[in-house]
Amino acid sequence: MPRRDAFSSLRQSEPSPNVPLVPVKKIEAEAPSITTAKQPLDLIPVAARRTKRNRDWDRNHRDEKTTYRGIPKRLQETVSDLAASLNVPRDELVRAFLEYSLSDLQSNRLVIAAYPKAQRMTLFPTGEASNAYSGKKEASSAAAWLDQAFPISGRGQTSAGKTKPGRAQNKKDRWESRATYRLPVALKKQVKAIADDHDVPVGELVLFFLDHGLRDYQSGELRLSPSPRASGKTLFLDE
Amino acid sequence: MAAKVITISNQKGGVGKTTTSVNLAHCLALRGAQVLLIDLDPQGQSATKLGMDGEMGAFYFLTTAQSSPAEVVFVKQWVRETGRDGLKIIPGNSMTNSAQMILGVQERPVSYIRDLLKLFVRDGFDYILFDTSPSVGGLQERALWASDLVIIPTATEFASLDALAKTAETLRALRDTKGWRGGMMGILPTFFDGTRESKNSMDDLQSEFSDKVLQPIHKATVLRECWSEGKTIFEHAPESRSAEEYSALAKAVLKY
Repeated sequence: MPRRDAFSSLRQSEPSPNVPLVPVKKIEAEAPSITTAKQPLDLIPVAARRTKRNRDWDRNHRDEKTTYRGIPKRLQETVSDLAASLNVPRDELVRAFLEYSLSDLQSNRLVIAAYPKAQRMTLFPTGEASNAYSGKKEASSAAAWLDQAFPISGRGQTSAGKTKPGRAQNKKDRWESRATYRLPVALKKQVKAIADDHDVPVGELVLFFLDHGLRDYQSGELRLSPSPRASGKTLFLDE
Repeated sequence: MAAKVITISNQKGGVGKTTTSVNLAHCLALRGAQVLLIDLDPQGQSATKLGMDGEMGAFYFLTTAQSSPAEVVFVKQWVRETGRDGLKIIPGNSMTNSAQMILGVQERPVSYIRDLLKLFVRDGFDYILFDTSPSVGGLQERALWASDLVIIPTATEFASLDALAKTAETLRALRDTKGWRGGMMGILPTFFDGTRESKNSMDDLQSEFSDKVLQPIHKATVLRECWSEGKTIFEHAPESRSAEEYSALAKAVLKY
């Protein structure tokens, strides 16, 4: 006995106006086209698979994306909050602070005073054979220079080179805190060049600039005036 | 709405709707998703399957107006922890039937359940699953209309295929007459075994619905044992073929 068609009801039911009958084939050139209903699957609504997001924009603007280390979370939040209150994108605010700080730097209103980090010692500071070994007098003067540059306080110093674990952890946390922004490539390069000139990490310089910009904004010295940018037109104004 | 709403539906009973709902919900949760399972079946067996008791959660979810903060808090109290990370449930019981009657009397619109789900917008759920009852009624219709995806479990036998055709017609009517925007994700063949009837049913399904036929769930004793132990297949027999098959279903869901 032949097997019954379980889906005959579905196939025979009235097709909805949204589902047109499709032409199958023309028997002859002059003959009218024969139409037939689609299969059950064509008659019922089916879900579409998630499509991959178009990443062309990201690819084309990859150079603008930059990540800086050492920007504290708190400062990032402050900048984000301020951007939200001004109704502007966060990256634009960061750009404004950086450009403001750069202009202050160029006009000598902002000075970068980088301190040497006492991480490593060398006997050849200029890279050539020099005073690696010398007389007693010079040696003592070198020691005096060291004392001046990196004064050692008597109190609380347990052993040479050791820092308090809490402080070290804070420093590590700050260093691991990263912030990613989209900035004009020229601005990125300019900031990097200044960081290289002063031999400081670029993240530290960005932090310094952001802090400067934010402080001047809060004191009223820096004024930011957002202006509307048309993103299209409409025929119906909101009431 | 951020959460993807999935309804497990078939107008025929005993095709594995509750088994599918619970195992799919747990598998999605095991994959790191936040899942809320809402039991709209008056038998209230989703909770039983998870080793819990049926409760009036679905009744209150469906009948509380949510017009004041106190009512919102009250409804949210019925969202129960299942003891499984990422999986919560609003349990149901026989009172869900009464809720269906109340909705009918109040002439609630077809979008009613979808509107109720706004309650959970800020609760961080990735998936909201409805387990429905094997009948045609206002509750099923509203649950289908609320869903983005519909999975139709179908036992591989003629009677189930017939019911599948009716469910498919309901989906079409919802789209054409009620403006439903969701879609059928797939047909899940269940109770698949090596019998001729099972194979013929699979052939019928594949010839009519081609790639919308999901990987079948084989008939298995371990799935029945889960009921008595109040465990999902991933707890009772994580290495079993059934667990693999439900994992494949969850993987397919993630593609939508």
